[in-house]
Amino acid sequence: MPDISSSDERPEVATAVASEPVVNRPKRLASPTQRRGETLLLLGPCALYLIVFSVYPLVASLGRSFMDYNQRENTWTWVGFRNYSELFHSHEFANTVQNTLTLTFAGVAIQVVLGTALALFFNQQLRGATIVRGIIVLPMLLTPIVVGLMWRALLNPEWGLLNWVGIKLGFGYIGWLSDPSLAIWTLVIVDSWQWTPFVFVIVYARLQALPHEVFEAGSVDGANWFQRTLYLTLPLLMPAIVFAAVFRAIDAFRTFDLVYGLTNGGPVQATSTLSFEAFQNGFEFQRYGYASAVSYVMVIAAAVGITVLFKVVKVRRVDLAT
Amino acid sequence: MSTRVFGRIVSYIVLVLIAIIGAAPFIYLLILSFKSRLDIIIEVPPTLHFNWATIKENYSTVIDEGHYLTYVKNSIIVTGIATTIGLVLGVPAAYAFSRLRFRGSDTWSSTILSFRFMPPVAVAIPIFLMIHWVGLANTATGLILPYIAFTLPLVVWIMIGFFDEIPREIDEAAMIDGLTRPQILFKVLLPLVRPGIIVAATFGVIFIWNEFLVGLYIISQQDKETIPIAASSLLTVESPIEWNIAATVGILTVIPILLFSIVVQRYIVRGITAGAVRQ
Amino acid sequence: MATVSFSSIGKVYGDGTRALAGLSLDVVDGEFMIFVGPSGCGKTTALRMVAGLEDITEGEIRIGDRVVNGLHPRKRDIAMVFQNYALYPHMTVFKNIAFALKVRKVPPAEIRQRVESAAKILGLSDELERKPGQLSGGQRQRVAMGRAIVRDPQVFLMDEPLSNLDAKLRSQMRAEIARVQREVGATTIYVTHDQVEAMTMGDRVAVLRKGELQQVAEPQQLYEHPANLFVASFIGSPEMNLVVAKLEQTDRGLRCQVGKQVLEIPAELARSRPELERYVGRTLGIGVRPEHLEDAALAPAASIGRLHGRVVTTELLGSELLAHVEIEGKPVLTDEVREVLADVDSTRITDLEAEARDLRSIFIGRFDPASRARAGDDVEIAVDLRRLHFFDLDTEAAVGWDAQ
Repeated sequence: MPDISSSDERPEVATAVASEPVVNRPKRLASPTQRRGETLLLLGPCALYLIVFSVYPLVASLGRSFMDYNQRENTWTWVGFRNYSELFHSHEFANTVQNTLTLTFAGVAIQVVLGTALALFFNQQLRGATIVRGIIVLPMLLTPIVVGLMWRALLNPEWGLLNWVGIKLGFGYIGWLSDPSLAIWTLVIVDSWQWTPFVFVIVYARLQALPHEVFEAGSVDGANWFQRTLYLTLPLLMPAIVFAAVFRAIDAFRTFDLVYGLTNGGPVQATSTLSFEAFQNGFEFQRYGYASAVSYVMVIAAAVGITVLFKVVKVRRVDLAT
Repeated sequence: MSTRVFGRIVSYIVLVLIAIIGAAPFIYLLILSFKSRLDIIIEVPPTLHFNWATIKENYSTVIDEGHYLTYVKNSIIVTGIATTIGLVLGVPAAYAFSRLRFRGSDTWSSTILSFRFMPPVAVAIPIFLMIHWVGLANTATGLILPYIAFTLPLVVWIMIGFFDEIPREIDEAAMIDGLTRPQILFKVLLPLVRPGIIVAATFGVIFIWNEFLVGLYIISQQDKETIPIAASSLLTVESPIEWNIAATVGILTVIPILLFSIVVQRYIVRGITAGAVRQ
Repeated sequence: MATVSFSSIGKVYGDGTRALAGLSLDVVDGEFMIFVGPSGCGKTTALRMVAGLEDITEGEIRIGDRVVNGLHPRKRDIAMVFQNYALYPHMTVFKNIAFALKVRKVPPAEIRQRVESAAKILGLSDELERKPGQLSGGQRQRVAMGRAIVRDPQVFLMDEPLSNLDAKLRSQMRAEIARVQREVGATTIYVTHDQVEAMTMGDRVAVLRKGELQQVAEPQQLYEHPANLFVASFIGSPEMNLVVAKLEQTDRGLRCQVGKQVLEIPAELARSRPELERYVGRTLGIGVRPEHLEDAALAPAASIGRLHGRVVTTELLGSELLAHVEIEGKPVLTDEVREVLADVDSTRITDLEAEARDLRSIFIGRFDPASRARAGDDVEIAVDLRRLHFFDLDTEAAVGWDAQ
């Protein structure tokens, strides 16, 4: 599809305005003031709403991060950068950051690999595949705290199904959720269970949209399945894979609900993520100022991630150079 | 030839495995919700013999004593209203971004879209304070207001894509006929982007329905809670729980959204891929 | 280099539709064979069966002396140029052409040498580092060809490679492809729906219709001795003029009655078509190509018949005058004729049906541009009687058609 020049700035149907001087004057069917009015009407409410409920809170949050909240007296005092310096020197924070990065990068890596593998797998004619594809989509829709509950049940050390299976297979008892060094990986696994389908759906859709003659040509040229996949399919899927990866990374970075539902940050903060730490400090410990500071570190990181995403993906006016 | 057959057998096995992995946690929880507290601990693995009385007991405990229906009602009200208003505000905005070019329109749209990725924690506290300050804590409105803000970026993002797919010529034809932009949107384009609206609504609903972080801050009164908020107190990792009840709560929490998804299934897939495939 | 043979090839799809039936023909080593026919005739299906991209339901295909039924495309040693080129969009022209060699683990130095020489033959040497998205349609077409020729395969397959190009480029590329094929000397099967391409490029042409082979012969043979009404109408532009006539025997020989007019059949022609005798007293279809008609005012006298008619319209093309002349006589309206017209433009069929009801036929003649015939004039057409064709109206076959 060609990029139809979208601007209202181009000369439109030449309404006969004979008295107009012959200058390169774009003729619009609505006056500039009317257009501005229309824009305002269409965008205004939305923008206004977001300013009140998104922009203001973000700014306020920044402000609060420089303050300290005293619960007993319900007062706010300015403390400058003290919250931040406390952050950066805190062991807990470092641990939290590490957990978050593990979840984000390891998790997304797993999801991307599995998701792409799934997409490739489903690229054949299999009876019943449609039903299974429908089943796969469901984990993404479940309330994360319930997902946490499900897996807590499965991994229950006394009666959980998975542990029973593990013992039967000779693995012995595994402290999925009780072993601090293992717990974060359990979180990664559960997160991947829930979100691999997301990568799958995106990559699969792209896969289906690829022109099939290209693969026929590859076959005729002598490539076997492996070569076709390596040299043709994967490179052509890259844009979708990268899109899914970055999208997922930004979302994984903010994970809170699942942590709350699966481990509540434990054992002993072993699975606490940035969101969780901010929440805990805010909701439980009432340290609103500190919580805001933690949140704000996240906001900065998210901003970086978003910039990356927008560079990687032309969000609008998409570049169709394939 | 036999490698082909072998390959297909393996494929079918893998297919079944995938289905099991995808559905097992849910099915497991479902089974647990049919068992009594004792059975859960004793029966390992759980058998498929179900006692109707036990099932009834679990579910009635949650539904009647647990005021489940109140929570459903709250969830439906909050989700419905927030999504609707989100659409009302977001669809025109998306239309404007799709059609009108003005100074900084790209920056504006990118900013709005970037809110989609903001960590809710960052805004939770100020929003909580704001809602408290205007006295809307523990009200449905108090939840609806911030939830609208959360869905807006999503709605705008999805709808821009759908508007972009409609050729400009349709707008121009309408303009020649004398319609103003808002009229074009409502009379001409809205029917055309109806699938997009459904996609946006679907995602809005799923997102708001499952929301509970901000909700936790705003609602402390039990009878005003939405399902996830109510469930969260029951399902916390800390307190010892009666697993059969917990499982029942879990199932009841997700059943509505699952039913909803089955109905709108193809829109879900369409929405997720709307961004990626157009590359 | 190899031969390709089709033995009773048939193709039926899962839902029961039949695409090909009983196709048998042999493509000779080094030959440029063209499959031509309207959309849906099965020509592309047949080609893809040679490639291995379609399963063979009935019959056998051999490449060389190997039966290739069921053999994966990559093992067949064939190269194919697709209708939409199917270039690898993410690879440079160089890599596109080199891909088949790379997959066979040919050493890089040799790859470079072969790709560069293929590029030279096709005039692509300057484009090697660009990507398909940056090339014009004609260039992409040549890259597709480059991909094929660099491999030195046993057979070349081409699926309507020129149909996506504009008219001028198409005629240019026709010559190019023919030249390249001669230079490389590869056995080639080329599919097209354009009979001009078929006539100008092929050593032999196979005409297909609804999955069945109508006739396979050198272009000139198809032109002069079409096997049936379909081939007669399909080959040649503008189409052969067809009209229903009654065959009569007089003491001077055979003659046919067209409406109220008469055309004498020359003795030699009658001798070469002994089967005509069976049609005496019956109706049959006669055909004569536009190029064998002339404005009688300008034509020499020998072996010429005459038909009177009224000029409906004329098209002056500079090199000739196309005159559409209405003659009294019933047009030939059989299934085959209908199908050829439908492929061009279905409104022609309704026109023809209207004409049939009124018992008038439109004959198109390619007159000398000096002709004074104009719309509305009564005119006399000179018919080169040596060039008459005769068709059985029931079987639609040419009278006296010997299988060749």
